[in-house]
Amino acid sequence: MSGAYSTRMTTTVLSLGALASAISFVLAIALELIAAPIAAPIGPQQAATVGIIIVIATPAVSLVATALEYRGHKEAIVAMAVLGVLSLSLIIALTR
Amino acid sequence: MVGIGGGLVIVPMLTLLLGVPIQTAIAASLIGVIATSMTASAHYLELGLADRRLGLVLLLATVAGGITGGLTAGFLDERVLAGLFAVLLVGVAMQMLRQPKVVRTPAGPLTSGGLASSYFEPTDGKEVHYVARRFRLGAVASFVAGNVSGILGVGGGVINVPVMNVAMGVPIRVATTTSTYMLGATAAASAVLYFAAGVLEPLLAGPVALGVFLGARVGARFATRVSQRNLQLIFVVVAAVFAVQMLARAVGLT
Repeated sequence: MSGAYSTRMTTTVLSLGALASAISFVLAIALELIAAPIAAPIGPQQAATVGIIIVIATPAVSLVATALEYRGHKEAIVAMAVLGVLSLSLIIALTR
Repeated sequence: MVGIGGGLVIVPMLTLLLGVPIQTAIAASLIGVIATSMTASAHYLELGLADRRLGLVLLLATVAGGITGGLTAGFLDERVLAGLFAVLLVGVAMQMLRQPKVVRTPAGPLTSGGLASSYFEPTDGKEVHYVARRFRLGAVASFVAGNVSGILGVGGGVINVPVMNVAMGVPIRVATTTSTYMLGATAAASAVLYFAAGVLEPLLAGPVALGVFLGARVGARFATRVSQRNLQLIFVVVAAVFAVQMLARAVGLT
């Protein structure tokens, strides 16, 4: 399908993103379920927020990985263009 | 299990059963959509079933649509969103009942124009060649799909898959896997805007994403035991119930 181009970097980014966010969400739920206050460095809200940021950032990082896999070919430019459009939403979000 | 993504079920469940405001439910659903895309597309890319080159080209339009959808949703009243959601549920349910003909192996020369590619069909191991065409139509449809995703939090597969398959000549297996690959970046474009607007609740969206991670695995196993048609009929009944309740909310009955 993707010709001779490797997809390993992209799939690794996606899998690691899924794993890291899942760990954050499990931690958030665990912290939420613990009734007694403990001396945790972060609370459930912060742990869940970290997970959300990982989920939202993973597609962007995977586009960088894709661009690297297609390095020297026009697909790399398209991947970076998609990342550019995606960055617009971040700019809009930060400036609104 | 029925290939439509979880958003069509997540949003009504959170809104109607848990009493979550619809915009918060949509934002949580977008996180679920990204989670679905992350898990499934890594698998599809490894198997060589998702057309990454085609997906990248169409992503330019869906991500732009995702941004405008995310911005538009902020100006829409809860009742309007509920009404639009009811219409979407009815549309998807009708599409499933009709079972439109899918183009499994598009005909036509493999040389002129378009984006030529191939994949190995898992059921018989044969290599299937195809050429994706009509990119302008695909781009317009992708922009609309991105908008729908951003406004209603359901992912754009309900539009992208039939357009890629029927209009662009992409085999149905590649259309569904490529659409799943595209959902992540598309939903991320809108999710950023919901997050910045303060309507994305991490402690609600987190469990939704976890449920999606687990549900995708359980669903994949369960799907092999129940026929696709029966699963679709179950969805149609559930969608009809949700549509009526969403419509009632839209007209102010609940």
